[in-house]
Amino acid sequence: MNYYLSLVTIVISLHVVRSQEVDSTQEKHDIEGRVLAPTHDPSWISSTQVYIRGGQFIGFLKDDGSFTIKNVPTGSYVLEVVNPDYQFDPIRVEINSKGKFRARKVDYIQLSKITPLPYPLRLKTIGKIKYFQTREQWRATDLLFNPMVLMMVAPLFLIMILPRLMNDPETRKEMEQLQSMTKLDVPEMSEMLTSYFGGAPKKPKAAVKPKPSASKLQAGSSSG
Amino acid sequence: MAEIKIQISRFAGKINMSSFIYQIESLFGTLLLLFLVQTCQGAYEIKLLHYLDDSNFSTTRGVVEVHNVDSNDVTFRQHPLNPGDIKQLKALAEKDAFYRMDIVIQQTNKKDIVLSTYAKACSMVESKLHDSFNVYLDHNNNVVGISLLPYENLCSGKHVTDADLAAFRSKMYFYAPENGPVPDTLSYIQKIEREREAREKGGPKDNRSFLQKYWMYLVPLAIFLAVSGAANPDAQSGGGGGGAR
Amino acid sequence: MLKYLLLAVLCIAQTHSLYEDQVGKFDWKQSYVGKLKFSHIDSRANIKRIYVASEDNAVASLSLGSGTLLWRQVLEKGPQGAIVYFHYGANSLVTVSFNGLIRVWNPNDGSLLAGWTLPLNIRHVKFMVDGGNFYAIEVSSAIKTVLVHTYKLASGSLNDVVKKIPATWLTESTYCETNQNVLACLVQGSVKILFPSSGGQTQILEQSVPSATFLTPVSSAIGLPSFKAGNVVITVNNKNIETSQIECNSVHVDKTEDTNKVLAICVRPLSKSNIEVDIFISQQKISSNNLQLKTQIAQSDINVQSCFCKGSSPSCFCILSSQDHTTLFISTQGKVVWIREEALTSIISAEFLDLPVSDVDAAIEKEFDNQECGYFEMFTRRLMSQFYQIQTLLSIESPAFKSSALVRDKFGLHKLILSVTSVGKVFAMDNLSGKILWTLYLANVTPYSVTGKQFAPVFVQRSTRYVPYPAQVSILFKQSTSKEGVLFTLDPITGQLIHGDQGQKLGYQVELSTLLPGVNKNHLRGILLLDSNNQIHLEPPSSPVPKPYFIYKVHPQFGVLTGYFVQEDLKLQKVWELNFGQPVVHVASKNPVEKVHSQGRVLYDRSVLYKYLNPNLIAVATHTPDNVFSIHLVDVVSGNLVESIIHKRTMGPFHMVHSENWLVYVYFNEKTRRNEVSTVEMFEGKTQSNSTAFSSLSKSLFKPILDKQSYILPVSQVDAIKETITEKGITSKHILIALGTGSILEMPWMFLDPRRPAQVTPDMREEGQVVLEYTPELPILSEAIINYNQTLYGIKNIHTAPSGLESTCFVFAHGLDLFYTRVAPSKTFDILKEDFDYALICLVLGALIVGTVVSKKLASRKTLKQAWK
Repeated sequence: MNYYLSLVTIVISLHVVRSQEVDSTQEKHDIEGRVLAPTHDPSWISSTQVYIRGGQFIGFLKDDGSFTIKNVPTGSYVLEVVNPDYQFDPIRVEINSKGKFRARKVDYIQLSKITPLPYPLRLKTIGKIKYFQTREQWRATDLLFNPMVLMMVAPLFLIMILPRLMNDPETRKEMEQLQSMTKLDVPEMSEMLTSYFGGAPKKPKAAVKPKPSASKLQAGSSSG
Repeated sequence: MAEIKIQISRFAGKINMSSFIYQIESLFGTLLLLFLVQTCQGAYEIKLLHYLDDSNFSTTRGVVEVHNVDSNDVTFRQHPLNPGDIKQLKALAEKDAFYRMDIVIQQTNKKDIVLSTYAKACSMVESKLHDSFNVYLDHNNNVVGISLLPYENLCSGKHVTDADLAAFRSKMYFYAPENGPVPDTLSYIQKIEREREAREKGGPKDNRSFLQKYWMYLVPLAIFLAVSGAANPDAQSGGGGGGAR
Repeated sequence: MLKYLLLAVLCIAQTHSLYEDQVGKFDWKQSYVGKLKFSHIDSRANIKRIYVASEDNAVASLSLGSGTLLWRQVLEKGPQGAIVYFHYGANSLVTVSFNGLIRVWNPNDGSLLAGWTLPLNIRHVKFMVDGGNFYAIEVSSAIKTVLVHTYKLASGSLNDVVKKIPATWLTESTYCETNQNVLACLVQGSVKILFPSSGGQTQILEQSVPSATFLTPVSSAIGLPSFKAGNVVITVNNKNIETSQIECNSVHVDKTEDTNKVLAICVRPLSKSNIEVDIFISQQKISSNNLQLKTQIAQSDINVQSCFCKGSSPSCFCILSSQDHTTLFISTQGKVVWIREEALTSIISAEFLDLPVSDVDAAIEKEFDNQECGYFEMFTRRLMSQFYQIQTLLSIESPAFKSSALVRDKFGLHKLILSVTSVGKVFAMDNLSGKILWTLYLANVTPYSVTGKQFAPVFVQRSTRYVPYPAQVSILFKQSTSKEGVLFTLDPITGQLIHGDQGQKLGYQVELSTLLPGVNKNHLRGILLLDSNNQIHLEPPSSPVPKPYFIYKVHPQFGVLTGYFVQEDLKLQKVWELNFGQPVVHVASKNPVEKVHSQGRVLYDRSVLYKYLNPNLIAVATHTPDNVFSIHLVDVVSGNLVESIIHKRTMGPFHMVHSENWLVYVYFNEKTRRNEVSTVEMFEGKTQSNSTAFSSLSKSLFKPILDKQSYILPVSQVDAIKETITEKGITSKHILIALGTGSILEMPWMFLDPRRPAQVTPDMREEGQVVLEYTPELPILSEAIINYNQTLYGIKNIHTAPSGLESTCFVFAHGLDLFYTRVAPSKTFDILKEDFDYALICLVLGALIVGTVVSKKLASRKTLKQAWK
């Protein structure tokens, strides 16, 4: 029993010792990269930093946008570029014990998916961050194309304007012409339908014949 | 195992050595834990002590031998209450005080753990000393807490004779912790895959005829034309007749 | 499925994003630097800036005239990023951090010019900048030499030649410091001065200081590097040593323009708002001035950070840093130019307090206050109050009523933020403008510390609602010397301490403190204090204690929770004890002012799932060294462990919020190397166990049903989380997450809901309920970031408080920066929207009325005409 107890304590103490040793004896490396300027205004440099683990390791930018994060032990880190106005994609950088760097896209869902990115890092902005919702502008078209308005205004228009038009004799004649033309097609269709569902085919033919002559008569009378 | 072999064969520096040691020690750790768990499950004894008055002196109520935690298999060996104890318990119940218990857990190779629990004395009396213990475990099967639940929860003022309060009838239930949830990425990835395949395959799905696709719009149009034509001839014949004169 | 995600995205975008014109209307941000560690004044003709480095690892540039922040760079968090050396000169700013990083900054805008690492152990190295070179001086007592490593400042390239200065007098106890280009070492009663940066044979000067036990560099003008050893100030003037005796703890050494004599400026605090500035030339006091401060500062040493002098009768301007972290910029003529309250970077407790009602309303209340007077008296009182109301309406100055801007407004949106800092300074800020109303300095106090977090309990004993009685707030601190408790009682509106400056010394060590629920006849809530002998003390002693009353104690190191019952004679009786055996990292209980509006959730099939609302439930989080994080839900009255949840292979930092019937916690999953959020929601089931009263002692044998779910938070660090809270609990709750990149994200509950279905069927989407399908990753939308482009550095905590409006909740975040804003989780459903078109409605109404009248007239005229036809 005692032997096992001592083994347990050794195991636990080794574990504790190991977690402390990691920091001091591991090799430290430098992560290098460059942030491409999102804007021509040079003030972006002092307001941009590259963070690892929310500020445990920070890289500041030089005038040309390049940065170096120094003294990073081996492991896997997510690099985030902090800038109040522009959005950058985070990058996962893995440093193995031999000092080899591998940069890939961050994917928290598919952990083993590797989309390699160039190293030394080249960080380009995806665009300006949209913090605000644009206010809905009031446009005249919104009011006009509102279906309620259309349903009210169009008949209003027809009621008020059409009778005035009707009083004018010439337009009246034109309207009658139009109506006579349209009259041709539709009755045919209705006659066709009625013929399908009942009624002799002869009647439609007889009905069709006098109508063209009637319309011709009318046309003749109007032109004459 | 393959990883360990590769690391041994590489042999570069302290880092590799420490990770190698870690692998070995984790193996040892798991084996040890299994062994301990096996032995522990058998050698469990829980001592029950109770306070029959408001002082700080407790008396032994009994001992519980735990055989198997998973199947709630325990053996109770509890002393029956003597008339003096019964009188004290009834006095507590009348005062609406608490019946407190101390539980000492003796596990092999570990320190004794002392836990406490309580219940209303009147509910102990009214449930005629019929109670149950909920024992809470942690992920290493150590006892973390214990809770006393008399059979009757609420005191309704029933009268109980001394004869009913002679012996304890107890049960013990063990509760292990639940595993926390993990984000379910697997089904999400599968869903995305399925959708992607469906989108690729189901492109030319719209090979129904023109009529079949747009019948919803054509039919009302046809009805509208028919209706206006039916209306118009009546109007036209009247208007045309008028115009002809 | 993606279209549901799009719907979700649209929903979140609609629910709570700001409009651009709302910026700055109800939010403010204040940036601070922290306690000054190093500073340098650049007073050249057109520049006039101050460059500072603080103990909170920030390097910044302040404007000389107003003290406003021009730029700031925050270095690595924690002790690794501590700045150990700071130098300004020749258009470059050099900082050396504890982790060995040397950085050269551009002083104009804060961009980096060069950076390199030091391969040596920082503890034994002193630094110097001279000419265009950076010197790292290693004082090695083992080989009895001083090694000088030279780097080029512009590029960081190391000069291969290491200069060796033999120093046989070096011992283990030698203590060295640098100032400008001089290295001074204190060796057994004498100070040796070296010039490591000068070429050729190095000169070593010596000065004996018999009674000196320490050596500190002293703020000095360029060319006069000075040190203080004991009471002697040693100045190196052109390779000559000059000494002077000054009985002053904080000195600045400078030179007068014309006479070239060395003058020393000494600053001494006289009282809490009074400091004395003396100028000595050749040990003779030539001028002495008293400065009155509008704020309170610590009465112990004030550190003179740096000064610059000009003029013949020397008129100097100095930056002072007091023990309570306040930075002052003064003129030795007796004027305070500006003050920066840097203590606000170490806020540990904050409370939102109601403001008093306006005088007119108070008068109305006074009318009905005393019911014992007769009818005639009440009548006259009413007439008087109405007279005063007319007076205030016509704004005639009345001697009885003073107008004050600190009054409660209609919607209860104007409040006072009381902040308590770890240095013992208490601030009261107006929440609408962020202005500091009053400050109070409590001397010789330290805050309590539990699980690594510092806190000082603040008890709001009485609010301003009970008019003749003033509001009362008590703050509990620990005395620095005796570790016993000391209670400070004050009126939060005026800032006056009730029991005097020293507070009420309790005479015992306080283990537990809580605010009692009941009020005494003066509407005052008492405080219950438990000392180390398990004895209960009540402040004030006549406070009513409810019966039955249970309290619980947590022992964080061993993970032992003990519950006690408070008996009639205020003696404690131990009733239950739990032993987790693992250290406790966090205990989350519910907010006592929180109200829950609905008793259950209505499901899509019209059945009700009742919530498990246990007001006595707390969540205890423990963490073992083998990285297993367990959460235990404990009912503190009965000692029941409702449920335990374990997460294997998880690491901190942990954050947890517990509210209503749910729990949200954030942790780092070591296996998958990502931050995860887990939510746990507790339900009783389809039937309610007891709809009238809840009792923990009526333990039914059921356990609540737990719905658990876990999501991935795609961020690298979470600094704090907090849930929103409203007055009645009708508004939905959003969780505010402070990210390590400086934004505060507002995450709606519907995203964190554990009941998000795996597949959304059409019948689930009835009744206008928004049901989101389960996706493992939570979206971080930029519209949901409530501090838009105001990046906040080093957020330590977020406080939320309900406002007078049901829809609005106040948010106050503090850390290195302070940020305050309002959030409306369900949009402002109880007030009109901001761009409500009053003008358009009035116009339309007016037009319609005019149209009606006109057409009525026309119509009547027409009918008249028709009648006459």
